[in-house]
Amino acid sequence: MKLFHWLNIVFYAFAINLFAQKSPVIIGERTCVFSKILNEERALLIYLPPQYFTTKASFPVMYLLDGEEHFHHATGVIEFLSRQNKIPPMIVVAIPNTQRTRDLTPKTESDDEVSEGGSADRFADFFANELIPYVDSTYRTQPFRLLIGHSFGGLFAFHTMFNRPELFNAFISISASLWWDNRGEIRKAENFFKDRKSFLKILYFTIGNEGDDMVKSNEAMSKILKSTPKDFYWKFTILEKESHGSIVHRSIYDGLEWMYRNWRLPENFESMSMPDIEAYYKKMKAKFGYEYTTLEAMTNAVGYALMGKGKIAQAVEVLKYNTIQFPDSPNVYDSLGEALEAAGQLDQAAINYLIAVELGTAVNDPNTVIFRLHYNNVMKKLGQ
Amino acid sequence: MSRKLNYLLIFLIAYSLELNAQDSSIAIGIRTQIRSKILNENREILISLPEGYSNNKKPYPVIYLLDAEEHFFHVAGIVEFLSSQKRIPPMILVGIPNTKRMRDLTPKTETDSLNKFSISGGANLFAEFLEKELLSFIEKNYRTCPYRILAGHSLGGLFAIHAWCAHTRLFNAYLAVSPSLWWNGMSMIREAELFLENEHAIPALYVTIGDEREDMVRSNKSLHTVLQNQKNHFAWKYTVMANEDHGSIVHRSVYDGLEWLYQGWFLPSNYETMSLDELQEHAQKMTDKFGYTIVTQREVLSATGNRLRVKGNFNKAIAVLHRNSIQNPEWPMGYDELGLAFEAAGQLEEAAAQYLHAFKKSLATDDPNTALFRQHWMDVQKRLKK
Repeated sequence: MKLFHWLNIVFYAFAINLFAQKSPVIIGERTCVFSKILNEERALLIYLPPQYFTTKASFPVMYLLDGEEHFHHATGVIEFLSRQNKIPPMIVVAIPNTQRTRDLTPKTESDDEVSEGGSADRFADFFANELIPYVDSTYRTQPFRLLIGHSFGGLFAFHTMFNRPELFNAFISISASLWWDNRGEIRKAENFFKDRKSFLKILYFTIGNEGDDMVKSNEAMSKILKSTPKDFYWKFTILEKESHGSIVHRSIYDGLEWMYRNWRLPENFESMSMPDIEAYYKKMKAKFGYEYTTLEAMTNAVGYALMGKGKIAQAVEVLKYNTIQFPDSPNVYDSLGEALEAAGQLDQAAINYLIAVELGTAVNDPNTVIFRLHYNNVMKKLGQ
Repeated sequence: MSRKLNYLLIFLIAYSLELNAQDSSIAIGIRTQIRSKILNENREILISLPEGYSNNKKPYPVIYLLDAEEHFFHVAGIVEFLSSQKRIPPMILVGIPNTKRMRDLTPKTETDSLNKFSISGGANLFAEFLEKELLSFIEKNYRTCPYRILAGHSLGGLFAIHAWCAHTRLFNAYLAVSPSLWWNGMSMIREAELFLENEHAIPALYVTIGDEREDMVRSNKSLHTVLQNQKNHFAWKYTVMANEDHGSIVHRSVYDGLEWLYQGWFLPSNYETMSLDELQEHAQKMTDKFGYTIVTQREVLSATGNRLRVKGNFNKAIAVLHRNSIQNPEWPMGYDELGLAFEAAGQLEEAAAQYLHAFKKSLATDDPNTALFRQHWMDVQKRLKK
């Protein structure tokens, strides 16, 4: 089955309403966890991509600080960029504040900073021991986590990158308050990278047209980062036209685009050969550190594009590769079935449709109906 | 294709079950339906209201968005973000999903005739639907400013340019993203040229084009040339986004387009140091630009007035806060703030009158600050008795 068409249809389904005169346009849900570490209930705003409902795939997770303010426009970016195949579909977990300064600022030696600050390490513990395990056990997640923070949240992103590097794979730090604690994070950065040979992280950070302290401390950070390990992907951008507040949206959009700049298959992807596709997988795996099952959709699309151009034999080859890469996915067998059917290999097509039906039934895949229909049709053709 | 129908049913059932199960849902708007006699079909409409819509009586500008099944979510996010940053006013977003996209969004050509088998050429009928059915539905059911923006992409962009030329008064500003101006042998270019020669009150136009198919780029370049060569004074901008393709261009175009349209709207962040005259001058400029009465926002007058009071400029504070209470007669806090300024200036009787007004209004409007207003009133009464 052709997943890109599927998506269009899902969006229609979002828009069509047969059941009520008026119904809400829903983009996510509100839930909460009780944190023993923080000794309070924490609200969470959760966005699941449309593919979460239509596939059994797992997704990377974006953790978004200042969740209440940024949930809607940030999820809008995810929804848009992933539909453009510029980034993979992602789960978004947005965390509204209770005591913002307490949670987002690192401990200082002098106590003359904003008095209620200093508990960033405890907040990182909350992520490590409570929030991330909760999210990973509740949703189908990939082991790829992205942290986005603004202002004090941006400071928290840097602090966590240095202090708990195992928690996140990538960071977007927007207008980070790096002046905090007499530029404590900048001092830390210097020590942190001393003698470090490898740092497999991705970091995008921005600063707008803001106070001197803000701009200069971020520039100082970028200077230090210039002598860091080669496998550390990072970029610093000055957005001259933005203020401390207006900078957030563009930073998230540009940051995601930059992180995933080689994500999209080249425009002529349908002419990609098998070695090209394999090389592409390898590259993505090296960059992001794990196998991307969302690539299933791309390979699937390559297969259908080849079929559309009448290159049936190549389509079969590509779609067969997808069944080897993702042997648990019912749809890859259905797609291969369609290519084989187009190639006139009806017996082989029937076998693959049948595998799709069996796997689909086992995991309650709603598309099993379709797989069965394909199977029945090809069986009719076979005259049985 | 029967396949499509199957998906639809499965998904609708699954989704409707889900909808009913969740009351913790995060919603960004509602979807509703209107019956169009003109198009002889039901049309789905998605509507997103700005935050606080139901807590005040203010009217809002409206953005009408084509291809809404794809763009409603992320465009609503842009409107929400930019208005929270005060770069644009809070707005109502009305999304129009397609039924027969090609039929509705393409202007008539000599080769197609709009009969029941035809799939194109119905743009004028669609414009009539907008004018007589949709816009009037929205304006009857929601509090709207007389300022409407149309945003369309691809064929929707073609429709936007067509509407700009042929249904000029329907909208006050047009955002055309990668418009399909190759349509009908680029006939829209000539239409735009004639329009610009004959019409002089021309609505704002924002056009973007990415790194795209040759005929796309060529036809848009021609429009750019027409825009450069015409003599009218109106707001237009043509932007080439070299890093975007035909699909990826949409988000940045809407974001940048709204920012461009509302340049000058944003007050400097130190606005509370501005005088009432400066604030009113800004409001007048915006009124002239957008063609309907725009008053300085309540929060701005409030912050400015309170700051003047704290700084000891009591007369100026009273002037600003008095203006605020006139502009927002239903807002109890406005009277209380004015009372504070009077009290600080030693005009205790005037202060008492304002506090009492705030107190009474708060009872009538279920304002949570009733106790505060009452306390202010009682305190000033004590001072008056001394």
